[in-house]
Amino acid sequence: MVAGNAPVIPRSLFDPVRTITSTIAIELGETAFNTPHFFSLFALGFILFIIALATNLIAESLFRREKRSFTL
Amino acid sequence: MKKSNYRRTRFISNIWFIVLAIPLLLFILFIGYMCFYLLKNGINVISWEFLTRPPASGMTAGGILPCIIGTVYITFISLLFSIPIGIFSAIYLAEYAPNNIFTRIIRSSVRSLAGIPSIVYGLFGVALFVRTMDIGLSVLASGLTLGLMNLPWIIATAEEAITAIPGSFREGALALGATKWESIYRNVLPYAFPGILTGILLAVARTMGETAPILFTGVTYFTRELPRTPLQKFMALPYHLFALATQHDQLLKVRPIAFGTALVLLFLVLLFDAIAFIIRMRIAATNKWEV
Repeated sequence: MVAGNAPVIPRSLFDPVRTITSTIAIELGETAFNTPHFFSLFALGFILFIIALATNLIAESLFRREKRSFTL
Repeated sequence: MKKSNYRRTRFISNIWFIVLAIPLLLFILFIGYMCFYLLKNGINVISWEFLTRPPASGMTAGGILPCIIGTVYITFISLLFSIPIGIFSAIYLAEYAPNNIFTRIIRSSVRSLAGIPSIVYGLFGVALFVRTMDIGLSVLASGLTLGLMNLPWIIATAEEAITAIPGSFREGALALGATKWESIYRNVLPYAFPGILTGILLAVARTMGETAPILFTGVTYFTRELPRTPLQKFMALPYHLFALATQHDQLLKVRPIAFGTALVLLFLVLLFDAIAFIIRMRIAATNKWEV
């Protein structure tokens, strides 16, 4: 809502952007069920999930390494 | 020589104290200013009529009763769905699950699901509840979507609360001949309860404020009647605020009502937090233990 909602690659910190989440929020209202557009929104959701999963796995591996270095 | 050394150490220590305290102070100032700003702009429209009447004359007058009821309704349904499943899953993960690769995958999936944006749950809710299960745009569909969103939070916090209880609590009961479930039910859950409740309350606060998951699963800009059955559309506070702040055609005229709505939402969340805080204090006072 505050980001500016422009689907282009930003060139500076002050350019408006459009995030994956707001793309889903904006376009979900205007797509029909089971169309390629609808499925591509699911693909966007999947990308977000992959990002969350990757962040989590990195955090967990860091945590595990920390723990090992404390006990040894 | 030694004295100056001590003085220098203390000086550095003080500097670090200030450096670490400033961010917290800035944060408190920021939050305080936000609350003050909301209060200043919203307090004038708050009245008994504002809380007990539906909106009138194109949202420029009247109250927000349908939004309050809608928000409480979907929060209730989402908790009805996510609390039992969440707590049982957490008990299984903490107490019964074998420590193998499969459990570890489940655990990190739960953590990841807690981290994905709420609009993705909205997307999933549209596909599953609204379309595939054909519930339609309704309180029920929104409540279930929010429940799904809450579930990983509740599982993760409840599991942590249960694992934090020392092993001797379980062993004591087992040594006296209790079954595994009896030891968990009598000796672990009562002590883990404050932690579990904290997780649930964080989930409540988040549920009340979320707009994205309900946006396409049942919330509506305006409805004349209050939702009588869970299969009707409803109005909700966060969406009402969003609509008044960005979508209305007389933005400046409805601005005070938008601030009033924000204030009511903030108050509702604080109210739930306060109730939880009191319950937790009570339980913590009766459940004292020494490790």
